[in-house]
Amino acid sequence: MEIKVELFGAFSDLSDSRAIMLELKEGACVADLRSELKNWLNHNGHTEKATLLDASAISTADKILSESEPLAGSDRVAVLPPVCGG
Amino acid sequence: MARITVSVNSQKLSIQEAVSAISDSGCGGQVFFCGTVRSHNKGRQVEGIFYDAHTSLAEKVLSDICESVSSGCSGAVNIYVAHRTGYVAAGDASIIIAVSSEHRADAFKMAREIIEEIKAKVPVWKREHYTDGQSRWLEGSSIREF
Repeated sequence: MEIKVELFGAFSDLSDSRAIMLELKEGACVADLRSELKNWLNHNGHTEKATLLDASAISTADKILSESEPLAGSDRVAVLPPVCGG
Repeated sequence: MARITVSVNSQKLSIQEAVSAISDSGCGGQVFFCGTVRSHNKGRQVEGIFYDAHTSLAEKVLSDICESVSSGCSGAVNIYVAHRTGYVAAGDASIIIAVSSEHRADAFKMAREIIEEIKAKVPVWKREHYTDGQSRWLEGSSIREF
């Protein structure tokens, strides 16, 4: 299944569209997405961002997801680096 | 029950809007906090900050923070929080927090707690732009759930 990953903060520099598409196996969970995203970052030379991913949350439009949360093909998720509002 | 108004968008902030939002004749104290972009940071001259945000989640987290902070207050409470997105020049306002409550101590306490919680939990990011033309994303607090 194909998952759209929206990019925020420092990750938004990765793509003009502020999103990338990742191919995951059916039944994949957030931990699988994180692993695939880390591979994509390392493969494309973004090793600093791969490290930043370890401290980043994965969310839907209205909640932070746990690592075991299952994903569906229609899902749009976001990768959220450490925050600094105000 | 608290009356809560939150927004995260690119509109210029208005203190008058904040005043109207928390106006309540049953409250004896109003506290206003306005955060502005500082013109220097760690020895560098700052021209402005670009604020990125996950808007829908940021507004939900903001509402949750306001609900939580006001839950310990038994009397009337009104809270207004507006956070800018987009580019904000040095000296301009990036956030307004306004709180009214029956007694001043609660209003001061809630306003302080809200800004500290925002800095730690709300999905907003800052890219600082310097007068020498360089820019960088600022570090922050992880909101990953383990």
